[in-house]
Amino acid sequence: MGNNPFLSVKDLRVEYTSDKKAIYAVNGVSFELEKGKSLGLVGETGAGKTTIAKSIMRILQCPPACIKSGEIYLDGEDLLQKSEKDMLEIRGKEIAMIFQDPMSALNPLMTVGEQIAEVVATHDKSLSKHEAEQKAIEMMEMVGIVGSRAVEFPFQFSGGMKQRIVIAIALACNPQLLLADEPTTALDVTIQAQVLRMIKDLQDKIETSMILITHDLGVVAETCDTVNIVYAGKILEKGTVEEVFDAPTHPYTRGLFDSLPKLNEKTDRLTPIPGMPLDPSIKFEGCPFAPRCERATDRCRQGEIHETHLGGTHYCSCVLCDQRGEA
Amino acid sequence: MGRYVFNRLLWMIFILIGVAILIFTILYLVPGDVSTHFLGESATIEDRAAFNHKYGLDQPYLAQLGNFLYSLFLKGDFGTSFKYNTPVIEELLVRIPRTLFLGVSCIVVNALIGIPLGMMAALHQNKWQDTLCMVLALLFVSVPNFWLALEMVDLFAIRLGWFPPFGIDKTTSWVMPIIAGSMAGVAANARQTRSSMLEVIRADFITTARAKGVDEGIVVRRHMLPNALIPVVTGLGVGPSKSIAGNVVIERIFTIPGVGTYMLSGIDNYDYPIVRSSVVILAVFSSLVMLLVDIVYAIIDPRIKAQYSGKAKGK
Amino acid sequence: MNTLSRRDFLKVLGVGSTATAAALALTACGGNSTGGGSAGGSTGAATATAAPQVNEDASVYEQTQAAGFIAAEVSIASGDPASFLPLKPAGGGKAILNEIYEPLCDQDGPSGELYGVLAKNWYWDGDDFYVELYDSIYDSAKNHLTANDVVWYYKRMQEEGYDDQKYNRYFNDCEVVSEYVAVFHAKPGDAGANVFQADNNLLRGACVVTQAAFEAASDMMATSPVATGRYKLTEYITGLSATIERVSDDEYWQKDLSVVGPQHQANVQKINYFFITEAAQVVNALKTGQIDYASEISSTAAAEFSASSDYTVYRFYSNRMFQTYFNCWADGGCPLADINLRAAICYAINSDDILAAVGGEEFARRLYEFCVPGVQSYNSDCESWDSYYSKCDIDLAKEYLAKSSYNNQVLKIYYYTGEHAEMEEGVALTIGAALDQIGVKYDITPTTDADNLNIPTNANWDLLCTTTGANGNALSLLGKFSTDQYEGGIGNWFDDTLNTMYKEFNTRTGATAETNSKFQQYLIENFYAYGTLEGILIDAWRSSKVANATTKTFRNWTIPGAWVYVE
Repeated sequence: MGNNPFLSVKDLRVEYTSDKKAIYAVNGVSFELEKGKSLGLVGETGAGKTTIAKSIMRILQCPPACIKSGEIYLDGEDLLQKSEKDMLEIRGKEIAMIFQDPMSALNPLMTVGEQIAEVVATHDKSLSKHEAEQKAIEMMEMVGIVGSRAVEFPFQFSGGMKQRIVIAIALACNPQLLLADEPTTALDVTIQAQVLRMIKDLQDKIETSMILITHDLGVVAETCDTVNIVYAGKILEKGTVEEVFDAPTHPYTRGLFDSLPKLNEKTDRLTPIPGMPLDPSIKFEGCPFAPRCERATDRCRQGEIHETHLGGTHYCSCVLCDQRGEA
Repeated sequence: MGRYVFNRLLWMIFILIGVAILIFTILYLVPGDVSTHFLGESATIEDRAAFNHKYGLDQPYLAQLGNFLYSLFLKGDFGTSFKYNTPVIEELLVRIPRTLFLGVSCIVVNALIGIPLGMMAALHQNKWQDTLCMVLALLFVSVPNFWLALEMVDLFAIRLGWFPPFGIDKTTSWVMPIIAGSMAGVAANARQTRSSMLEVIRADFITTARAKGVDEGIVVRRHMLPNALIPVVTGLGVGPSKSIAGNVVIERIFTIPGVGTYMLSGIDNYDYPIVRSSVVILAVFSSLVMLLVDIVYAIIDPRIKAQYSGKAKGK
Repeated sequence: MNTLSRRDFLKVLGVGSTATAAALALTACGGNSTGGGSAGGSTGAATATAAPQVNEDASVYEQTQAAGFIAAEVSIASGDPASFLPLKPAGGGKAILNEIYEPLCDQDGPSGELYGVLAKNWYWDGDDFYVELYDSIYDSAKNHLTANDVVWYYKRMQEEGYDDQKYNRYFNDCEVVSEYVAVFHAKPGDAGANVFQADNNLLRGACVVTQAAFEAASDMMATSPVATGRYKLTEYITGLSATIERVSDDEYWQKDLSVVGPQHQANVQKINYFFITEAAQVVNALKTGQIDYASEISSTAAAEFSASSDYTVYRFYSNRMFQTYFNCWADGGCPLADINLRAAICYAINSDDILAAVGGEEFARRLYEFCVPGVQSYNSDCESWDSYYSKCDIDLAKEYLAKSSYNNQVLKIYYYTGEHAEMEEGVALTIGAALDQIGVKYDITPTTDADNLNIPTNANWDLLCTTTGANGNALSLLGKFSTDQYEGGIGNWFDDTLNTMYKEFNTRTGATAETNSKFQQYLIENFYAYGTLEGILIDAWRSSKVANATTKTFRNWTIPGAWVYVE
């Protein structure tokens, strides 16, 4: 681990309040990211990945979603202590986000050119309208769309192209940190490859750090440097892609890998992880995976589970791997 | 777009013919003897027969209908009132501006009060502003407009003497009618604005906008409002056609000689020409207004404009 | 009888001065209250009949305007005439026409006397009726009005299909005799010349205008009247208001103002009419000062105004009779064709109960025959007849019921909605309660013209509650017994005796108190109909401006020109 990680999240806790009940979305998440590197946040739906990303950017609407505690250091400064005014300058410029569903991510009543120009103009007030429009066209060309289409409306583009526009918006101001929330989930496989490649290319050009949220381990393998396995608002295992993929330690991680179909094997049935994720409105103790884990013991259900260092940057939060990485 | 408008206008003609046939038939089927009504209780049987003959009321249905349609559409003759002996169209031309003014003012007031109310309620959902706005809206829609009108007259005209209780001679005469007539509409607009705002607030593209670092005020104005207002425009569009025909109660109470009271007097007096022609004129208005609203949609929402122009979804 | 000119009329009274004559005439017209029967001639002394609060004696109000004083302006609420066509002047909203146009003659309310306005003299010669005009009449466009115009007027009226004057009904033709004399050839005998008030109807309210002016107007004077009257129309906003202004005495054609009748005085310079449709608003407008007079206000509003010294409240009998007809159509299978059943109902009904049901003596007075006390030919003896009016007898009613062929049918009672809907409902409900007492079943339904109950030979009703206004003579209340309008009469009586009696009543010399009494007694003996109430109306006016607003047309329409104003 480098000495000065670009992004450092410490013990982040986020709760949603719904009808006087609390939903514990993120329960003490800590990780780091170095400059120019990509981190994959992997987990099931509802694990809290998007919430983590939105917390970093502080675009959670409180109520209902409130950050209860924690620290998020970006380039040495705690984002959670900053005023809203400061955050307005950071969003879109220092940190940018790509969203999951391109179909609804764009304002249907504004031309795509206007929407890209908006982020440019917001962060550089000295630009004239024309200059902002020019920049917008540039970005469009960069993501592979003909610049003359800047005057068209979102409904005139297909899903893949809309996503490219969203990417254009995100990258227009050369952000330091890019949060990509399942950017290819809503797209078909061929486009997926294109989009991922494009992000990577742009990332290389501007040396942007990236957090890629996905549930697809394949994508992580292709694109990310490090990976965090998220479950029920906690990180169960983290490390470089090689570390985690070569030696998945946590029972959940192993379950994930086991459930993948393999090209060179013939099976009749896939192996899912039995059981259902926790009800997030219940504050749990111990390991959140315990109810579904076949190896769970009593110790798994009590107190805080500490991270066990398995070597290099590989960590695992499991009672069973207290003894040096063997399960 | 031009072709679309042309098509609509063409359709309008057919609709008007249909409306004319419908209103004629309804009046024809309404029970009651027109002649007795006009000639009074002391008329003899011969007098009544003479009256019916003079106005062609003794002819068979199809003959009467044919005459009516012919005069209306081919000669442009809107008929002459049985009772007043004046051409209906002249009366209507004088009265329409008044009703129109009342109607349009009510819509403007509706929009000016209702939309901000709804917006405030949506932006502060479930907090005290929301409750307050919705309670106000509920109040406005529950209060019957004639009761409100008379209470206002009592307070502002009699006790305070600020506005005249009836008539249209002074500019201040319009204040109370407009307020009384717009109350119910305020509620409808507020509720509609609130619900469409709430939908828009949770929309993904709002998150995108925020993620750009755009100031929240701009997010509300540039991103939320235009999208939220589309259903509201529908509501406002229905308003004029309702207002022109409706607001009869307000017109009656404040003695505003508009189309509503004219039609009402026609109905009371079995004065068929008045009723028929008024209804056809109102149909013309309603159709034009709806066309206007659709055009406004096209201007606001490019997706709809593309639909009208028959453009396929671009690539 | 009715051919006295105004001068003769005054001579009969033995008075010479115009002021006093005007005053006495005002007394007579104002209250519409004379209870005494007067077939002709006399002003009739005011007989005090009535409820303590109703003001019968209009003489408590200032009788004459200060000499030489013309009030500046007055505003009233009124119906919208919607058209100033002189050919059809009838109708409530058209009182304004009374100020603009002048008729050949006008009629004094209770006495029924005609007095001339455009006509100087009129008389019968066999079947011919002669009318002589003043020789100096000209309208506001300076056209001279002659007998030519009179003849043209009646003929034109016929062409347009208006016949309020009943010219067509009773007269064959009219022609010019000399420059100022026209003759009307009546249909002989009972078809015309002998019909009651055939001449009266012809002359009264016939707003003759000059042919020249009429034809010069493009819309038959619907919006631009040009006439001989003491006011001219200066502004008209349809549906909202109209203003008329006084023609100066120099410009008015009648130079002898002493012959001008009480209804054609012009005591105010400018009159504003506002066509306020909502009754509550009329009262509001009076309170805020936008109008100075309100007629036919509600009792609650009246109470408010009475309490304030700024207003004068005037109550009077309206001459509007609430009446109930029985459907006696034997061929139609109507249950009330059976006289015993009708008798049972009549004896069960108690008019005092009906009066109480509509609110008591503040709202109406009960009647003792099918007629109201305020008209000519009313004989107050009827109040002491031994009839079902004066005697409500449940046991007698039950006896009749037992004798009748009533077989538990449900009688259909209808009442007309409209201006008097609430009172009508009260009448119907009370009749229902009376039927309950003797065990007759019924149901009550409100109705309008639409149900066509007044078309002949309709068996779909049994009792019909309606109202009629009285115009001068009792005969006007009895129209529904005439087979001219309804075959067999509205109650489907098909009674020749009734027909004959009505025709007898409807003659020039036949309309007397005696004939009326005979007719009424026949109605009572046959239990044909029931006259329940006469309504009371209430006016209010601003005391600081108006001293006396009781003068009305003979139909009780409002004529501000004729009022007395405070200087």
